[in-house]
Amino acid sequence: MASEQQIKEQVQPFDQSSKDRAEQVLAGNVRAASRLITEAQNGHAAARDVLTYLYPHCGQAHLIGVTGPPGVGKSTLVSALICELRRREMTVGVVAVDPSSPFSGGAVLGDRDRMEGFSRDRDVFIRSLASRGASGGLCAVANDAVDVLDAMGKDVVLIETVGVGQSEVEIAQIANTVILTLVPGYGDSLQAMKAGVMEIADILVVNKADTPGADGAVNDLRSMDYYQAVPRGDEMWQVPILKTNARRGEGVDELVSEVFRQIEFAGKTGWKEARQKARRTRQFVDMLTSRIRSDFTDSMDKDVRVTALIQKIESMETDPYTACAEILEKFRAAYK
Amino acid sequence: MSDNTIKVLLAKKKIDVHGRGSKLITRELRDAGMEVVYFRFGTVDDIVNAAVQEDVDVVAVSIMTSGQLHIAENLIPKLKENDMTDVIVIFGGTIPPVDFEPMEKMGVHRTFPAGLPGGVVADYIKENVGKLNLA
Amino acid sequence: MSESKHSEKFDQALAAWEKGRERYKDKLRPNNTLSGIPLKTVYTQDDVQDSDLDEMPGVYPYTRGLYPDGYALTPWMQQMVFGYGTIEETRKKMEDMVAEGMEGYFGHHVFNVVYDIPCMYGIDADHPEAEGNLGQCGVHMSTGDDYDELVRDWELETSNISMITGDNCLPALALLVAAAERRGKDAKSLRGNSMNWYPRIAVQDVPSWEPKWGYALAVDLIKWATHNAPAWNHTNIFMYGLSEAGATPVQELAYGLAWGKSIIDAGLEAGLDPDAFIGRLGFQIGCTQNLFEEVAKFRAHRRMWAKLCKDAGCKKPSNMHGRVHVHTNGYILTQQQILNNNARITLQALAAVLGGVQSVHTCSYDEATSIPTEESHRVALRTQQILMWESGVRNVADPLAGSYYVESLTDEMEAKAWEIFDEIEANGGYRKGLESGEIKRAIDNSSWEIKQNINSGKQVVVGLNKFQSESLDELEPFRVDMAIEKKARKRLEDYKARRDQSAVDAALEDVARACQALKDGTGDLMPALIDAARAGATNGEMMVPMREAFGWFVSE
Repeated sequence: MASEQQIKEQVQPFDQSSKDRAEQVLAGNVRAASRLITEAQNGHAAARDVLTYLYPHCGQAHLIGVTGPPGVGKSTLVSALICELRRREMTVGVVAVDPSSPFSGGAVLGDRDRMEGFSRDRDVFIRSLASRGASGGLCAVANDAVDVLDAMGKDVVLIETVGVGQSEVEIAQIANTVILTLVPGYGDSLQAMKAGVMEIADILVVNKADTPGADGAVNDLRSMDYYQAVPRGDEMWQVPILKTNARRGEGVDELVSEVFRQIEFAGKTGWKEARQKARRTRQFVDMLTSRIRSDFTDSMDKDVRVTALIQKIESMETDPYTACAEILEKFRAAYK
Repeated sequence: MSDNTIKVLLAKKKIDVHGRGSKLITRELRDAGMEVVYFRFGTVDDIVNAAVQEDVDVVAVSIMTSGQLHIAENLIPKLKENDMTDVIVIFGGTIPPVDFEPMEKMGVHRTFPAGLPGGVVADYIKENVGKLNLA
Repeated sequence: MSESKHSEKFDQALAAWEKGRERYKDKLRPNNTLSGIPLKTVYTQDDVQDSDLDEMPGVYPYTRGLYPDGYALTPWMQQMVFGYGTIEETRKKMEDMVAEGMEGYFGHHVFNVVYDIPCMYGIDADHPEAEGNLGQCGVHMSTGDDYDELVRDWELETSNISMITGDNCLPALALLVAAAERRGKDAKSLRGNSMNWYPRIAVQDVPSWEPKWGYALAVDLIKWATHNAPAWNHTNIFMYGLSEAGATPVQELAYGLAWGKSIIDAGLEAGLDPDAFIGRLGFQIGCTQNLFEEVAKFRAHRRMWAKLCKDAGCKKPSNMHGRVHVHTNGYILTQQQILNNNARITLQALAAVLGGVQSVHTCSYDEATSIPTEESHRVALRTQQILMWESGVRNVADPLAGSYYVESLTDEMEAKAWEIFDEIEANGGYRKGLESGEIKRAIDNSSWEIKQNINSGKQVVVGLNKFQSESLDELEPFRVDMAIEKKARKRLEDYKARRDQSAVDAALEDVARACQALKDGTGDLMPALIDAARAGATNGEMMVPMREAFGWFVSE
């Protein structure tokens, strides 16, 4: 089903320019990194080559996810986090994901707007991405960008996503620390959260601390006693509840300290390892299934065996279930 | 790269006032299938920095209270300095037509007057992306 | 239909009318006003059956005008906006405008001065972000010297000074007060307007205070002015900003009145007596070329505001006056076939005057591309003067009263506006809508709809989507020489060199303390700002502790 050309692309030895490009990214070249992220997002084979070279250099950066419902001030919080991390002399990458319009395919990427004041800072790299209705969810979109910034040498990579679709849950599949942001006063903040979302939080933040009800919200959340289980030992991570006023940078110092406390804990208990393993496994499976899928759908029209089957389905001579089993049988035979 | 989504950076100059027009253009471009990195106010440095990090195809500057010549003069060289040459640069807003030509000489590909029918800017971008740049 | 109310003659006329249109009436395309109110082609006595036609100008609720004889006593003020460069250029412009016959009530002077954006942001000439923006589209006025030059030789009690600030309203007023004092006068002599228009942030994406503090600062100014400058108009309800952002005339009415109510509420909450402060609120309203809709809007506005004032507890009739300055809408002007704008501006001014407003600024035809040239500015002023002296429109108060169309449209706009107003109030009022972003979203959507209507041709804009030309007019616009920047910086430098720096530093520390006191609810801010102005602090210097204390960002 794959064309000869496609097979060639897949198994050809990596060419020199990919290596050079990777070197540029590793050296911190912003333009090279930025272009690479674009190509990766567009699914270019050349980008995959470069990413292969970069992969051994990934895993150093602390990956911190920031998510929550719209309107809680995530971008402002990310901006405050950048300030605090810079104060602690860490270099920062940011991947901010916004949903694409299901109608036009376009998007307004407005997170960067809140992150003012970093344009002269060589050590802050902010990249906005549109979800492009990615069938693999957030991970398909953000994984590569995160890896590029990681390989570039950023100490911390912040991943920001709005709580649309399943993106809050998906962020937990990339980030090692997930900060779930809420605000008081938008109805019961607990009710506002979709089922299952609270479980992804490693740290809960109540932002807009100057709003009446902020303390109440913090107390409510504390009384829920959230925990995260970890693979080794009988330790658990008690999810801390923090209060911030992101616009004024209040509470952000404590937040960052809590983040690093969680990172340390995750390292000691094997939690981080487990999460990273899960991420890469998932990335591998997603990528594989996605590429098989697109390879198949790309060549579907030209493959007489497939078109014949589809005609049979249409004329009721066979059905989708049987047809599927037939093809799968052939794949399995070939794979052996 | 015609099947790839077009990415646009749209900024009002810093400092400026309200931007009814830039909000409308942003929405129109989104509805035409483009990804618009929209930030409300940016200095030339902010704009260049964002253009590089976001790897945009188009840099669009919205002007309401003059300054177009001063900004164009600084923006184009800075984009080139930062190796952002495969990009279309457009300006729009309250800009007198007599300035269109001087701006073109500075490297701005097109200046749009206010109030144009929706789609004019989107069409221009679609027609020219990949063809125009800041050589 | 209560046919018994018709005379036989009218019934006959009606029947004949119906007959006369039978052949084509089904082919008629119904039209709407800009606000979406469906229009008939003919209005009759039936359409005013429920209207209250027993009104007189100068009598509550003032539908027919604030004053018993309309413009016969004194015509509307010609309050043309001007301002660019440093105070030197603007001072000259002030004198020129007076010489051209720009006048306020009873021949008094009236100066509608617009600041440049650095001043609006509270940035002085030596700030990096001021570069490229000094003196462009407004005057850079930030030091005591600047304000001294502003008021030099003008008789303060007969000179109305409107200060079109950004959110630097309090420092600007403080600087004006200090300048008046140096003239040997006090704040009681001041006549004019503070914008005090923080609530415009509901629709404008510009940096400003946190909502809680925005209102607190507004009240601080109101309190100070109420006690110290009784002839000063402390607050401007900037409905113009709403229509410029996309509000239809009915929305402009509804949101504008909700804004006004939120200020009334804030003042009452602060313990002010309604008759002490409500009368000094003023309105700045937009005006499109849609003649009758605008006239109806202005009439409905007066009626509605009077009712709100009465409900708030005002007893003195003049405190229930909705005093209106019209700034003709800029968004309807086109760059295409730019001279067409003269016709638009004329219609806008006519609508305002037929609507009985107190003051008018007419835009210049070239404002679609830049600030006015000398000539275009003069033409705009002449437009008003032609209306005033040649058209006869000022001779009769509320001339459209009794028109079946205008009276019924007034009623309908009022009703529709109350609907929206009630919804806003039910959701917590304008203030809540500002904080939540509701108002911004509603008006952005309206702006979008208008664009779609223009794009589709449903709403015609001559020269833009109909009767287009191949090319744009190549008029040489007014340019503010960049050399102004150097001049402004030098003025600032010289001023700073001459003043007592330690006195300024101490005064600014007091300002910071006063900001905190305002937040704690234990003190006021204006007195500290006035002291700082007396000591020689600049506009930008006073804004520093204010931004620190009250926040400074673009709201959602």
